[in-house]
Amino acid sequence: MQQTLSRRSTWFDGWDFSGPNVMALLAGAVMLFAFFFLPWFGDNVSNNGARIMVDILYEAPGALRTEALIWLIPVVAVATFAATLWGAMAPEQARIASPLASLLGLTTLLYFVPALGRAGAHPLLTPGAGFWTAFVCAIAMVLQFVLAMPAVAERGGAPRKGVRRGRLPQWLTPYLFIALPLILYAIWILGPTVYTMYLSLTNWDGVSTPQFIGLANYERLFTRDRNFVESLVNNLRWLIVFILIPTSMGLGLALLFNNEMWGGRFYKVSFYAPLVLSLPVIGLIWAWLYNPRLGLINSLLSMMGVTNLPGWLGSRELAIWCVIAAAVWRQVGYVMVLYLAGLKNVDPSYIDAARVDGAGRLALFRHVVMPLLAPVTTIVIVISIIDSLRAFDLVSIMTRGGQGTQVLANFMYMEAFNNYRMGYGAAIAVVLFAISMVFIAFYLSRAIRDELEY
Amino acid sequence: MTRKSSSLLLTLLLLFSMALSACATPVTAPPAAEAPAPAAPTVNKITYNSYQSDPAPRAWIEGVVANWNAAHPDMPVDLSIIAHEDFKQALRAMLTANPAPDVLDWFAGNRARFFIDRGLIADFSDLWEREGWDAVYAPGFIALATYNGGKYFLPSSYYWWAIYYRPSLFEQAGVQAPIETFDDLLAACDALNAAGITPITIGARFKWPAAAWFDYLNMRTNGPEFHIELMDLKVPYTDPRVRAVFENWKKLIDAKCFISDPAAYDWQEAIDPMVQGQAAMYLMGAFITDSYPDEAENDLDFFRFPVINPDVPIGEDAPTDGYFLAANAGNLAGGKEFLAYLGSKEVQQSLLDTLGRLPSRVDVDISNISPATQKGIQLIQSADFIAQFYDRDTTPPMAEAGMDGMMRFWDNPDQIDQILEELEAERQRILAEAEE
Repeated sequence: MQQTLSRRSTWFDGWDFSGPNVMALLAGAVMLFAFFFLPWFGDNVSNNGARIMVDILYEAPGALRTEALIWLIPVVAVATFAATLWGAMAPEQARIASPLASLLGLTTLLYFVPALGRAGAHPLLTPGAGFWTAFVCAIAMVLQFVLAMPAVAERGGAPRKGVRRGRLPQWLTPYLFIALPLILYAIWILGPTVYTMYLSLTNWDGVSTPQFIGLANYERLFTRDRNFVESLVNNLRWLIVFILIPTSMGLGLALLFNNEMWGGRFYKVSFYAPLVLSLPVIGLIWAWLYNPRLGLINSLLSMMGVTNLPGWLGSRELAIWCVIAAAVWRQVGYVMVLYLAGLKNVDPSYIDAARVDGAGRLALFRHVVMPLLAPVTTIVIVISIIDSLRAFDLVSIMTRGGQGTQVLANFMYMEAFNNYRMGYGAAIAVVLFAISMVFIAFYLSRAIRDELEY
Repeated sequence: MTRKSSSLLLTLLLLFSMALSACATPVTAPPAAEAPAPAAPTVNKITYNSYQSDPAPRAWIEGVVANWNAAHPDMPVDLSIIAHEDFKQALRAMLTANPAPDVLDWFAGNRARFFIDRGLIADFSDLWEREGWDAVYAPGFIALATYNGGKYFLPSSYYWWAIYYRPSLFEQAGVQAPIETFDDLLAACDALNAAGITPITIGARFKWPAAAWFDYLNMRTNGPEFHIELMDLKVPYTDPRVRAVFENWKKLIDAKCFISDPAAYDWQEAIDPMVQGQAAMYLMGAFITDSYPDEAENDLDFFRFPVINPDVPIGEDAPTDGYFLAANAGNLAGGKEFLAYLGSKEVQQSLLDTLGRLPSRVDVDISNISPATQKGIQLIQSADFIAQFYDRDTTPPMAEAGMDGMMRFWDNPDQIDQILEELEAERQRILAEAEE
């Protein structure tokens, strides 16, 4: 045990950088690179692993039927690299890792199999640079296995002192556990994210081959697109309202319902209920409420004798606030529940102590309860910011972006899927991502700091 | 040594066989796109994606598919119905998928050309010839199906657009139907307003009903030829003739012809004021009767959009729906067979008899149709020119920007020039993109 610990003093102590391992590592890295990044170079669609993956898995009902094994390729590419890493990190396991890597490496060719021998069978599956890169890597993998065999056999015969055979080094175990989520994360989140960034530099129409056009999309977005300005302003409005109103109302309701009261549970459920509904349903309900002739709101107003009834969603000035109001209605319950949970965790002895010291209600709230709720407040604000930035459903259902209610997410959707400007849509997505990143980075830095403090 | 190497060999063998078995699937099951499975006694499915999601057309198309499946157990049709708006968005993904669905609903016009240019829609001239469709389809529809010398589209039916109105409300306000000139329309607005009736209802939440007004005002002011040039992006939006269209539109708005806050309603919600007797007219396609309450339909009639400039030919919007085959279809041969059925006289006859949609074949028996449908056919036959519709005739981004501009114009009728300049900028952008 002692030896294992001392071995950890530098993180790559005990790695094996002999020839075959380096070769395997290189080949594994190139394989990963080929899968995720090759689409960045050259126009040939057959290079385009990520695009094919997205097409097959997201878009086509029934596409999975004939090429169901396509998902193996990215998994195998990642697994190959993992196997080479394993071989290097744990030399005593090389007798498994090395053949595993070479076999997995060969498997990456699997994806190209349908294309071989049937030239032009499928425009996406013709052997192109993607195939040749994978092919060379696979050969290198086999080669490293052949080269490593003598060393492996020898090491297998005389295991190192202090390392029990057949067991993984202890420090590796957690990484092994997170390997699968990490791989999935790389395929479903990182890959598409990076690919979107690339697409934002192209003029892709969703069908033809993307052409690199530099920063032209961003240039248009920032200088010549009034929809972008409108969306940005609306997202900003949304954000400000979301930070102010649901947060304060949710806190107020939580403080109110935290006390025992008759029917308290019923009220809590009532305020929480909207959260159970899906956003499109909320959008439809509110669109009915806002109907100027038959809607509940104007009916009530006219019963109260109001003439000159507002047109709500039909009015350019009011529409965006109407949509935000529907979103707030839902958000209040959410925030309330978060604060209620936070209040349950407040130790009553603090409050009793403050009472004994003669603190009034306001002082109690300001100097005892609020500071104790600070972590909840942070979460609430972060959630509000993220929810307001990704606002899409309500706008899409209630106005489809008309009447001055455009927001970034819907704008992106319209450009990409209605106007067939995928590249431009990707540029909007990247801008939205960058804005979100500012807040997320801020939150993460705080979260990590807090974690270190406790 | 021997034990070790044997265990190693075993591992190798195991992994290799796993890899092989993994390989086996794509090798033995190639995408069905190439050569149909040799001597397959199995069923050869045909996939068909449709956007007929309204209740009546949905029931009809399901019936058609059921008939086909009963007659062809060896190649049944797998029908997916997708809501109209979603279908528009999803089409790109459906066509680029591999294999793509075999048969799809779509409409003629610019949106189809985009995909034909990119090689995603199959040319079925052979089927067209085999079925002898050139002899039985009306010439206008054959022209619609033809692009660059190939046949890419099978027109199924079309419908007319007209101003629907309630005769009883016209009577109440003392308005004479049909309204034949623009001035009469403005006068009718005054008369109806005086009687406390909103002259024209419109539900423009999703914008396109406003585009119908633009289409008609443009065709009546400048003529259909100019309209199509504008749709093809050959004329700048800053052209004074386009401005004249908006000027006319402004006259209607200033005369308080329209319901207030049109953007607050979707097109079906805007029917309610009409049913309740609060609004008298609605410029809408013939499909309005699908959503109009049946019991109120005896007090619903329509007339041709009034003439503005008597010197220009009469153009009408008659959007044509139909079918096409995906170039990436998994079962192209089967798709063609099903298409032949969809284009047959039998199916067209039932489309007319069941849904009252106007057939594109000339040999369909129209003697039994309702007077309303006969009137609709006459409306289209008396027109000098047939357009599809704003968002079908022009490119998708232009349609989006254009309809957005129309709605902004509606709220701020004084900003015509600024809005037209923005539309012109969008046109320039689209032209530049096409050259890339």
